[in-house]
Amino acid sequence: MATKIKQSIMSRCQNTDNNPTPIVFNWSSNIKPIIYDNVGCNNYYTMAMYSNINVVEDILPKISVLKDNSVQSQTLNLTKSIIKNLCFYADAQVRLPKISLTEQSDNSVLIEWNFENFRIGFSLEPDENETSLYIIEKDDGTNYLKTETRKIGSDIEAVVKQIISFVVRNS
Amino acid sequence: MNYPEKLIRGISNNDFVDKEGRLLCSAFQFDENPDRIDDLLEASINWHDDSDALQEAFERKKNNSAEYQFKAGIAVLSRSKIDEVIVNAKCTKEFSYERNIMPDNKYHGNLLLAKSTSKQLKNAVVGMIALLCVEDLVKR
Repeated sequence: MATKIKQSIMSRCQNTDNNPTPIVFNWSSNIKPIIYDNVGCNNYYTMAMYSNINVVEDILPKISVLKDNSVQSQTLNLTKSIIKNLCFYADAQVRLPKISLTEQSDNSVLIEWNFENFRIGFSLEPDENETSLYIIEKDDGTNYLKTETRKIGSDIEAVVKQIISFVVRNS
Repeated sequence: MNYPEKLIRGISNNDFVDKEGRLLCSAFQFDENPDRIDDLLEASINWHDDSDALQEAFERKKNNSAEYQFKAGIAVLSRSKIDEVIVNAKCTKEFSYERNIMPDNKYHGNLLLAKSTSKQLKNAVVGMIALLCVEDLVKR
């Protein structure tokens, strides 16, 4: 059954490249076209539906109402990058938890992706140079915590590629 | 000062809990208290001195109204695991806790964070607490 669904989706990808007809998602009307237009092609959009694109469904409606323009732009880029990179793992048999977004009082945004034994967070700042990432991992046996934090600035695409790879390997 | 093993953090609304039922870092908002002179930010907690502490937090009403203060419920955290996090993150100068009894709440205390703490460190410490120290989430 799963193979049939995938074949059907892949077939639609190939047929719609030249004459895209977006599949209707129940997303914010402001955000859907932007993501659709910029991710690259219908393949990403459609293939991701088969995989774990719904991990971002809760944050999409919130992006258009973020107060800071730079933070809004970074959030959009991050979201697109997550969708795009998830497409490369469309065959991965993993179920990923949904991503959460919280706008802070200083207009920064905290994007949290929380798993059983690790947590990933992006702190998107009005000053892009201050934008940072944290990864916290718990060793189940010892409760030992391994933490990595770093500033990522405008390097979101490369970072997301690594993060998605890490997430799929560890889920 | 002696502290009990468990502490309670109220959850103001469901935005602080993700779809999987995990507490978000944003549930730990550290606020400025103009009465403090020590450059520390506060996040209110109840110390679990006895079983009534849970009840106090869970049933607490907002400004004497009928509305619950912690609409989403309460989280129970392990103090010894918070101590582990403080050591692990090497943030003994930046992160601590206190007892701060209020006229209407004998269990009250605070998690404390130095104002000078970088956002990166703050996010990491709070993330570690959310991952390691939350023992129970009592949803309303």
